[in-house]
Amino acid sequence: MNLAACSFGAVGTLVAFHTGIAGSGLDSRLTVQGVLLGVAAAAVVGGLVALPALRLRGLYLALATMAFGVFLSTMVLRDTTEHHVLGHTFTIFPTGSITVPAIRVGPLDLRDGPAFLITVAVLFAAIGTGLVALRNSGYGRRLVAMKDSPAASAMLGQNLVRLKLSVFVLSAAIAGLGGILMSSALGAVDTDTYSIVVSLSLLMLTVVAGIGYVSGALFGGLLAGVGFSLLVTTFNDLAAADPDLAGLYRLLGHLVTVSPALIGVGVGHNPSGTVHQVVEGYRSLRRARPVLVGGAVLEAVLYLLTLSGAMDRWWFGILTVVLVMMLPLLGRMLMPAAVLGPEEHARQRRALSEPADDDVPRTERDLRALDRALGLPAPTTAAPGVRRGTA
Amino acid sequence: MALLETRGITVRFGGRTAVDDVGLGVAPGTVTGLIGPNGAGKTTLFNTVTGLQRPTAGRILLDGTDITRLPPARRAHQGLGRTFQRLELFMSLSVRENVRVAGEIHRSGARRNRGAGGGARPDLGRETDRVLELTGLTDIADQDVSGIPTGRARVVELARALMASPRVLLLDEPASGQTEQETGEFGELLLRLAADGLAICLVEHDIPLVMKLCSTVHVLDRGRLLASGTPEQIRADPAVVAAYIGTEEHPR
Ligand SMILES: Nc1ncnc2c1ncn2[C@@H]1O[C@H](COP(=O)(O)OP(=O)(O)OP(=O)(O)O)[C@@H](O)[C@H]1O
Ligand SMILES: [Mg+2]
Repeated sequence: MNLAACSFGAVGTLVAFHTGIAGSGLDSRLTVQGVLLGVAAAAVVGGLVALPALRLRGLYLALATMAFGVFLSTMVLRDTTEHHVLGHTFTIFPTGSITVPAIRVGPLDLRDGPAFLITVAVLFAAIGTGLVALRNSGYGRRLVAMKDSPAASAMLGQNLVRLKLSVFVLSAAIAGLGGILMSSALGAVDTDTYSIVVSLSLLMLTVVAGIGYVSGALFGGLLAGVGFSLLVTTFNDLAAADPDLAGLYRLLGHLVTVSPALIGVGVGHNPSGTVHQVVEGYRSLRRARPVLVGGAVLEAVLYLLTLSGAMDRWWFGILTVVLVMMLPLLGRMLMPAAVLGPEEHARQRRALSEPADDDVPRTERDLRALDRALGLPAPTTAAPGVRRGTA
Repeated sequence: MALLETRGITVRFGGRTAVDDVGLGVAPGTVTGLIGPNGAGKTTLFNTVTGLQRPTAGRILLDGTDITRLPPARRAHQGLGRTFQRLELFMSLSVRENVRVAGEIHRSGARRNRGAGGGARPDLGRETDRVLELTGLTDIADQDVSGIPTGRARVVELARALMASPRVLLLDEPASGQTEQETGEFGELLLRLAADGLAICLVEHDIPLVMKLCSTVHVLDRGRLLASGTPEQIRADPAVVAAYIGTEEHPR
């Protein structure tokens, strides 16, 4: 776990800034070569930071990245004096703030808002697709295996340090690219842009949205970037437009500002995050076609209503989100047998009709599942009570 | 000649000696038994041989080379495989993926450990299918490994270990949690694997199974090697009967 994604973004930005600026004044631009060098630098620094910590447990690695983040933002990024190395004179962070021009390659000019948006979207899609492909590859399975049982992985011949290092370098490289893009979107960058706090809040939103899912990263990023301010203004606008309900809308607007806390509750409920929950919901919906079709029809109706002007665009957005979130639940209510699968459904009905009886003998597997759920150490098979006498 | 050999292996945890000066060998083409009461040090010895536990003293030889200082992954590439008493399956993967990823791990490391690998290797998917077939797991291949009963899960651990092409296989209580029928089939499978030249070391509390499969049996008691011999010799050894079999609840 990397607690200092932004710091690697800063490394990427700095290197890109020092190596990749061509032209001057209004014509200055960031070259692709500079971007690539920046990404490579972030990857290398990521590897160097991780290497000493990788032999330790996950928590220490996380702390090491955090220490690096603090070091970078308090030492390196405050370093505005001139250095002389090998005859070169340079300043790491001149005047405490640097101006990062937009990337321009041939006809593609990222100073243009829509072009920037599209390029970033395409890059995100490409990296996301790449990561999904990676997860379904042998490399991805080896990562899962290492996470599930380091001991078994090692006993099959996996060099754990090397594998961990490779993921870490990859993630640092992606953070580096993200940092460069963010800097050039912002135009000017100062020390606070990359403070550890920004890293942590970004990370929190990603965890909330769904760690381990590419869509979780997107959802988290959207929440961070636009979600909050947008929702708050939406509710304020609605309140202004409709004085009768102003109180309700204001309340909702306030709810949005405390929503991170609510989301935190969501994580407590399901540590894999929101996206995971929604994805699981839809997976089980696959067997309940009518519900899916019904949902699609409903969404189409909403869309038509919006097009014809009978409904506000904001309402469309809000209702769509609600619909997407509620559909699995609806499916479960309307067609329980199809959604849960016949066995599970029958079991739940039985559980409802017969009050739970604690004297019912439990199989060893039930007990194990219970132990696991309660976090108790599983009894070893050699415990005297469970031992098989003979074959 | 033993393929795997331990010499004077001693493991201490604080003041407590879990394994005490143990020297034993495992020969290719045979199943070698390692038995002893709870806490005798069997699992600790396995952990030491595979590199998960550092010995206080002693040496481990694989095919004559000293592997005492090698990390676990390197030992695996030298041909050491094992299963775990406390199941260590990859819980988020299916049965097939558990087996397949073992091959993927093995190949990714083998490429580094000995150049580009020896000639053309069979397709990994086909190799996975072959091992699933051999171990009788084809019918549950696409199930999540978290949902299968313990008895089958132990077979998955064996199949997984086989994907790394081991020369020596250490099995820690593989029959516990298996039904009588599963144990029977498992024993047949072990004999077939041994007949193909594998050196198998079997830790098991199921004494009849050990006596049926093994050509040599070692008995550990409180960390010390109490006796070594053929099943007949072990059964007749009064010290063994006193220390171990006498404490078993009801050996039939
Ligand atoms: N990591 C450890 N730290 C301290 N003591 C340990 C550790 N691992 C094992 N022991 C002790 O070493 C002794 C041998 O344990 P080990 O698990 O090797 O026994 P075993 O022969 O495998 O027994 P069983 O049949 O119950 O599996 C036990 O007394 C145990 O408490
Ligand atoms: Mg044991």
